[in-house]
Amino acid sequence: MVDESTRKTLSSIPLLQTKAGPRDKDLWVQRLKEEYQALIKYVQNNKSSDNDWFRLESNKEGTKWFGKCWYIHNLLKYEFEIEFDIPVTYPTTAPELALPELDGKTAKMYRGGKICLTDHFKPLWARNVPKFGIAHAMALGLGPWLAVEIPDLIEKGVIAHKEKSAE
Amino acid sequence: MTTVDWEEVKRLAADFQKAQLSSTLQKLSERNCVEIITKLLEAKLLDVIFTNDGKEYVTPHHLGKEIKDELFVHGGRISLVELAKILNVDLSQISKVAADIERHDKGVRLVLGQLIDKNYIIKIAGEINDKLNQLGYVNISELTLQYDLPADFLQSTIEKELGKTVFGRQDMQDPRIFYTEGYVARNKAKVRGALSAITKPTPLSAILGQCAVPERIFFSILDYLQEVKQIPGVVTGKQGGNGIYVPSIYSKSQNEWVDNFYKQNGYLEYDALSRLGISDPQSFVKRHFVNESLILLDSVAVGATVIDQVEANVEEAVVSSSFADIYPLLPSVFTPEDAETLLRIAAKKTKANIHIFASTVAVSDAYLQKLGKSFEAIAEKKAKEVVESGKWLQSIAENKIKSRINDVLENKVDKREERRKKATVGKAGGGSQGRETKTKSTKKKNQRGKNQEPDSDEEYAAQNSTKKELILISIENIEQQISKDENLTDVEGLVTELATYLQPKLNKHALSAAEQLSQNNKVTNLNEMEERLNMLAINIRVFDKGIKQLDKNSQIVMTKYLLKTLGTDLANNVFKLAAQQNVIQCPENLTTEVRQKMLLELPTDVKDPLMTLHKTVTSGSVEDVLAVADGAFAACCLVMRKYDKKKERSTVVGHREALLEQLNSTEDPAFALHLATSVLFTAATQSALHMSGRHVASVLSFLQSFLESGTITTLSKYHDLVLKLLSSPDDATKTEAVKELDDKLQEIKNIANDFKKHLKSDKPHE
Repeated sequence: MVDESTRKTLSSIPLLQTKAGPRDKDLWVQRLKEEYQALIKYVQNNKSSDNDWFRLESNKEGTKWFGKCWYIHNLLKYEFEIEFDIPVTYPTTAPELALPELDGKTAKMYRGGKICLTDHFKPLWARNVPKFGIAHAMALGLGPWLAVEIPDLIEKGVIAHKEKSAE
Repeated sequence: MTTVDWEEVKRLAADFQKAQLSSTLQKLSERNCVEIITKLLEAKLLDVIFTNDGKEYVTPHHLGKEIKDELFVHGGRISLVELAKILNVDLSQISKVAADIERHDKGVRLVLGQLIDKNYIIKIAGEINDKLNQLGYVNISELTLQYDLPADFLQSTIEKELGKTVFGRQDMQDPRIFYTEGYVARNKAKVRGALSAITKPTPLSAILGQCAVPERIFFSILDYLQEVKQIPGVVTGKQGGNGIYVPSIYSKSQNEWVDNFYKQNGYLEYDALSRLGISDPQSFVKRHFVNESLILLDSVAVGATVIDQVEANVEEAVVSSSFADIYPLLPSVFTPEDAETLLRIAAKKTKANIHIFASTVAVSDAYLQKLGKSFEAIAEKKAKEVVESGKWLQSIAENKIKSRINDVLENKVDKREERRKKATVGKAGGGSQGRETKTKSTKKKNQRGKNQEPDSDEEYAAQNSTKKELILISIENIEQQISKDENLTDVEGLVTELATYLQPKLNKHALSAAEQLSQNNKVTNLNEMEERLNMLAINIRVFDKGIKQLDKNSQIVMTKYLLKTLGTDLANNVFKLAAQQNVIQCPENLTTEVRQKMLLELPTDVKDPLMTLHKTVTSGSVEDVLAVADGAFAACCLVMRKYDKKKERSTVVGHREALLEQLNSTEDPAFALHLATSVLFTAATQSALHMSGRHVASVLSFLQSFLESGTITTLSKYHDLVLKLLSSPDDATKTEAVKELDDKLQEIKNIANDFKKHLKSDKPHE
């Protein structure tokens, strides 16, 4: 079940056309361009709506992605590292987003910090191959997960504000 | 190709990084913003103006700028309301700022809630100029409608621009109108042309309609043209459409006509003047002929010539003591009323004594008197007729009776009032018997009510008839008489007027004549009456003396007879006279009862002596009657003459002569015997005797001692025969007696005629 704001976010991200994985050479380039355009658009959207919540970059080939993401709770910013690889079968298979910092701190996580996505993410993705890309995965997957898990984790005291902790 | 793609990917990656690194817009929620700004405003750190929806703020300075921008965009003119709508700012803020702008910026003005800048003013000045050139004139009020700007603003704008951008001329009379010079010149030419062409008085409105010059400019042009004397004529009447333009050529010819007409005829008819178009002829005449003494009549003005003519005629009529009808002398336009006024004036001037009849005829006083005199004879004749016919007395008597009736009525009324007063007094004093008096008074009221109507009728009749005067000479009579003169009948109505003028005078004259006549009559009547009454009194005395010669028995009878006949006669005459003097109606034959009645009507001073007379006549001696008659005579203003012995003899002789005359003419034997006896008695006793046939026998027996025996026997025989004739029922004896009487009649007459012979000669001196 995707909430209203997510759906809105999603609809503002341009859909992709090229169905190609990293192994498809030229087509992948094409796909990668589209991925970037979608991401740029998404980030711009986020910024304009004062909802910027991640930094992301990739390696040269665009197969490995890493960066930071954050969540603001009670006027405090909680920041986490994020990384993921583009699977070979991409885009049929969705990328597995991972927050290594939180590995072992929550039940909704696989080993290696890979977040455990909601039940309907996968069928939604599957239905939208090859229209969905990285931007969609971020918006549909990580965003909602953070919104649900972080407050819970903070509550439990599993994670603490870094500046605070630094003090 | 691939490399290009990769390059592109690289660039995109860079873009992506750049996008991610670009600063995030620090977005505040609306609520926060509002709160922040409120805080700032409270702290007076910020001066902003809210927009209408409250979502935007603007600083006053910026608003000023925006307003100026909008003003420019809208071509230099924009209403504040519109600004408020466009800028979405409250109108009060806008107007505040706008006022501020107007104060600081000299090129911008705030007019009627609109901002107007210099450019706009220049623009409309240009437009107005265009319009002015196009139409020839502009009207501020029209511009007001067109531009929806106040007239004052436009006025000042145009005046300011006059000669700079607006090339025209302001109307002198109406500063709200502007013309171009060309337009003015064109219209001026038009008006000048029109006015020059007109030859008869024309209403300005008609001229206006004809030459199609706008009214507002027309009058200023007219004034100008009049000032520079470029129009041949004058404008009469007040300024405005109802004035009339009179061309001088017209007034000139008009004046010429009037002068000529007057010179020729000596008068001026108002009708003719008004036909010429002179609205007020009287004042025109006054103005036009200042030096001439014209007389203004109702329909004409008259000059000296006509007046002189009339005066001459009037004078002539006076001198010749006749009359003159001036109507034929005057022009036919003169009305009779004018003629009358003229006559009056002439009469006043000549101081002649004239009378004006039938409006146009002057009749000299002398003529009137002459005419009156000719009627006086007729009047006198009529008066005589009236007096003689008794109508005069009758009318006077009637009038008197009526006035008496009035007096009586008044008396009645007075009495009634008295009664009423009594009644009211009774009521007031009645006390316990109030009710009784009350009923009484109501009864009286009823009675009065019944009486009232006939009373008032009488009164009415009386009043009516008292006003009536005896008309001796009617107007018709006079008219008929006057109509005989043909000169007079020629003038219509003159006869009637003369007649009505003369009638009252003549009637008065006739009445006075009648009165005089009747006065004379009365005097003579009175004299006659006095004579007659005195005669009667003397006769009574004489006869009384005669009676005293007889024996006692016959004396009483004779006296009674004497009183019954002559006494009553005397009394009746006195009563009649009294009735006449006191104006009481009396019948021809008076009886004792009638006298009684008359006594009641007579006034008290006359009443008493007459009453005694009345009584003594019926029962008394001759001496008494005569004594009383003296008083009665006095009451009727008569004088009872003293008894004169000398006269007695002549009376007796006269009586005897009269008796003889009667005797000689009669054929009746009884009467003859009666007369003869009387004559013989007179002769025998030297005194007269008044007797009836019944007394003949006793007188005869008395005479026996005086007469010759033969004569006595003859007379007795005759007497017996008469008795026989009168008493015998037998026709045969009657005819026989008549025959015998006739035979002896002459003998009896002879005896009487030669009474001396038959008397006994024992009185030789007779």
